[in-house]
Amino acid sequence: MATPKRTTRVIATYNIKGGVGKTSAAVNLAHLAARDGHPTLLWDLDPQAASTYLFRVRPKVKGGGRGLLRKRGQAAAHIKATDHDRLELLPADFSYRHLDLALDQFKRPAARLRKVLAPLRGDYDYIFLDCPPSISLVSEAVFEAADALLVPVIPATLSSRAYEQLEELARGGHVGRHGTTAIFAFFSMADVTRPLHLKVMERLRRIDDVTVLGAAIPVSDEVELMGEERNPVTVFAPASAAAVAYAALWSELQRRLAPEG
Amino acid sequence: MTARGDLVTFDWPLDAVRSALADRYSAISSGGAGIALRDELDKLVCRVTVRAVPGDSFWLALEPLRGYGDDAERIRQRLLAAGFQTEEAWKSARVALDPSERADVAVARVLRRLLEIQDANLPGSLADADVEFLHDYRVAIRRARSVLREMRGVFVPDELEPVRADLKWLQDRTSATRDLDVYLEEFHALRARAPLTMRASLEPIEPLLRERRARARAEMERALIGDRALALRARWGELLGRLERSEHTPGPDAARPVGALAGERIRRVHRRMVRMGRAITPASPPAEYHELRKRGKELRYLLELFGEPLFDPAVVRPLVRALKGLQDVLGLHQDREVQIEMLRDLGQELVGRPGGADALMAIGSLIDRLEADAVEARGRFAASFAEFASEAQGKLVAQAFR
Repeated sequence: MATPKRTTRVIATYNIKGGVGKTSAAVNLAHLAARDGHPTLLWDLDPQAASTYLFRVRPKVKGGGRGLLRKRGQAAAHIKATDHDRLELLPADFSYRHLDLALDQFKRPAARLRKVLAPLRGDYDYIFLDCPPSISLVSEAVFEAADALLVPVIPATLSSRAYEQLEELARGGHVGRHGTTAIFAFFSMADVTRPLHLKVMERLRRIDDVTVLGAAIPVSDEVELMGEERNPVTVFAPASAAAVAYAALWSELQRRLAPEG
Repeated sequence: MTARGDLVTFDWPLDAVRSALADRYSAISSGGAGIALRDELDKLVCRVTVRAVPGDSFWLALEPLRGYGDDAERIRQRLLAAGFQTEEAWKSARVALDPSERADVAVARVLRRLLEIQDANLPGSLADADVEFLHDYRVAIRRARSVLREMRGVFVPDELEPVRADLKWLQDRTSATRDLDVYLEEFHALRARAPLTMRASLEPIEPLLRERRARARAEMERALIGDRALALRARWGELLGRLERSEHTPGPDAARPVGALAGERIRRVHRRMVRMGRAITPASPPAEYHELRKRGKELRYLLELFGEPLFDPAVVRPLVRALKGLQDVLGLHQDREVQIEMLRDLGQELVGRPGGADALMAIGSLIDRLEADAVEARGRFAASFAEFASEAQGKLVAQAFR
């Protein structure tokens, strides 16, 4: 059948803090998208290269982050197929730790990632950006490139403070150019046996400005095992609570991102 | 392969592949005739499909993963060094040609290569291990028929016509099976794109297609190992042998330089296609698009088999590219027409079956979508034809193929 004009959705997993489940969400959701039949790209923007490692790819981009940003159409040459059908990876590189400096050399640094992604949009239904934890030029550029920010929040007080910071940044529920980037939060590493977690979750769900998705990713051994297995949970433990939660999260996110009409 | 094309067992050479690559890659069976090659990070870098060929040797098809071209090249080199042949051995029909050599000698070399490919794919076609065997088998025959048709001046009609009739007969015996292979593949794609609510209604179609395919295969296998096919293969090999030894009765073009003859044929088929294409309008019947596509295949084979080895690649490549763009559009159009026909035809058989009524409804809406596709392909025809038939392209063709 004729391919209808592609509507590519760029989804960035982002949090100011590290270790909250960004990579795990990016990797599992990207795998689910590809498994559903969607050509999908994951760009590992984090110099720590966790998602690159999980897909067993060498964290190396010839010419580094700077080279990638500079020339139009450069990104495609560095894309690697993962072991999973339809899921491809733009790997991390150690030089990404200076991506801020590299971006700063452009006239409109915040627009740069969007421009780099533009020629790739025709090839994918979903592009995931796995972002490094920080507030920086990189995150600004990510906000501008993404159609949606997906923010994992651990339902403990300290981390929800970080979330409130983000909320301040996103006053009104949107960030990015013209404020068109939607923000969705979801609970990550949630432990429903802990009263504190339950309390924080309840409190945060009542904040109006930001959408908290229904599915919560439970704290689980399987997610921790990903490093050992070097595969998405949805591959090696598809019936685990975590995998089921990711699937629920994915279908909700997909619904919310679906083009209108 | 024995005289009757006995089946070669797919007892495949995993161990040999493993030891050829041992220092850098691990080789693991991925089921059937597949091998997965992983690097030291345990990352999949290349998939390999094994094909058994006559004489107990094995040919390997490498399918590198995106971004792992360097690994694939290294793997290819090692496998060649270890005595394997890689897919060029049965995919690439190209042989080296010299523009000034006699046309009959050059044509014999091209046809010999095509016959090798045809033979190599017969055991796999019979074993039904992978639908690609039959596909490649058929392409080799179609290319040979095309060479015989375009280069007919090399032969005298008395020698040529029986072989052409034989090869047509052989190809016709395989058509029903190939069509059903494609239908099944297309059906899976169609089902995957159908709305969830419709998928269950489509279920009765697959068993029906499989039944038909089993019948078609049984008939094809009987023909391919039957007396007529054997006699045909012997006659064809014998004529080729005589051609190679210059013992045939030379046709009017036999002694001409192959470069001049091939150039003339390419110019002619190109001109003909341009004329045919200009006459096509959105209102033209599907048969006209189909005829143009058939002519396009002829040109494509001429360009691949003779154009590339004999003429300037700077002219041949863009022409092949433009032709490919046009053929893709025509192919899409033709596929949709064929699918619509298939679905209509299936409908009649489905009526009496359980779930038949639902399946018919679902078929109706699939047909609507396919018709929309065919209309879209017609819409795209004008642009891709214009590129192919542009004046600049025409001038280039007229100059280059001399």
